[in-house]
Amino acid sequence: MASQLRGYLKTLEKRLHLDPGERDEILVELETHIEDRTQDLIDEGKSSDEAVQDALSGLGSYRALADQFYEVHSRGSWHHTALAVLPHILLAFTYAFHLWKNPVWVGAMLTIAIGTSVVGWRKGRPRWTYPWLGYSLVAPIVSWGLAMSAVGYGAWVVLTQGTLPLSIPIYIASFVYIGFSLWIVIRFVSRVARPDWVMASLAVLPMPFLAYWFFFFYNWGFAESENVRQLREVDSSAAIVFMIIAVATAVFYRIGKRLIRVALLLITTPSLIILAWMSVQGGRGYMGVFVFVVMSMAVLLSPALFDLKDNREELAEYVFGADQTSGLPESAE
Amino acid sequence: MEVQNELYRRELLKGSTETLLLSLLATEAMYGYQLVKEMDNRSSGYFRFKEGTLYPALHRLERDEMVEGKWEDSPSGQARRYYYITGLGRARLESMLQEWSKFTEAVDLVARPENI
Repeated sequence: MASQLRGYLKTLEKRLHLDPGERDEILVELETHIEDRTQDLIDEGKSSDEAVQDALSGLGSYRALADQFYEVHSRGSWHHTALAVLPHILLAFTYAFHLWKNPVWVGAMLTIAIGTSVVGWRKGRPRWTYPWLGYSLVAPIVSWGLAMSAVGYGAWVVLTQGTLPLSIPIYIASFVYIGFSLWIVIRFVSRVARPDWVMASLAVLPMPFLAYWFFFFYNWGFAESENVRQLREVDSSAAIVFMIIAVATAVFYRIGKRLIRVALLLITTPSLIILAWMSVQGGRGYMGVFVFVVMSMAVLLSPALFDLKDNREELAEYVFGADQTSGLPESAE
Repeated sequence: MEVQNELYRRELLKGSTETLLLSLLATEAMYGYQLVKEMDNRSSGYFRFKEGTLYPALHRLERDEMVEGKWEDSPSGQARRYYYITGLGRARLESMLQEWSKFTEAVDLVARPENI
């Protein structure tokens, strides 16, 4: 009896994809319901096992139940949606008015993003904080990339010329920093992805475009960035891209269905890269943009790796049916 | 025919879940299983809530601030999540009941004009 109940709740727990506080409250509420119903059925003359089985059947398919709870709890209010899209709108504003070259403005934006993220993290990570959390990762990711470049360049010079271009303490510091920044990013993604990897993917949604933008300037050369007319065109495209990300984020928060959310993210990312490519580079280099789109999709889906075990079980449920994986009725309707 | 009636009843119940829950909670605060039993008693078994639908519906009402859930000890001493109707919930119920009256009146006018 107890094992059947535990098995049902455990399977449901894996499928809820909600924050631990919300999830536990739902599970306790359902557990008390099943206990009450079971006791009534036993009083009516059923055996203990039959009573539990009937009580669980009354709740129906745990997959449908989990999907309904997810839809109810994950859909954001208009107020929370506005807070979630705010960082994207600020970024659009930054590009529209060419403020990304202003270190005071960029510093203020990063401080606001990190401050909001820290407060949000401490308050149990309400869903509207995820886009802010994503932007607060820009600093460790960019600095990680720079440190990796320094180490890579050093290794190349050692191999070709036999000398180190920089002093050894700088390389030691770089290695320590690479490990530390990587730890921060992995810790963040794993903590966020455990309950719901889709939220972690939303947090990293602007990353592929930001990477594309950095990559573009790296190739183009910052000296060329003095070409004001071309720079304004690039900035206008970037502003449009961040407005599209804001709209996609708003839609994401207002619809509760998980599958639609995943589809929205998968459509938005390549669309943004292609849009940026067409407006910034004038449509050259098909292979390059294809590779970038593939890499972007990999980045976007990477949080799902942290949820891989559960996903395997879900996949098995879809392929073989629930009875094969949990021994519980998928539906007793 | 019986199967069709059952399906029709389910459809009606699906569209009326919110109204029925708010109506029950307008009389007193209740927890989930209590709501199921109360619904069964008051409708003489006509409405049988599927529990799998009930709890998401209650949580949806709570998200929309029409009810408020609180953990409290039941008379048996066990903790249960009681749902209280809010001012917003009462206003919504009032509006839904008015609409329901207009709807049933209109259905009668169309389907049973001889009774009018």
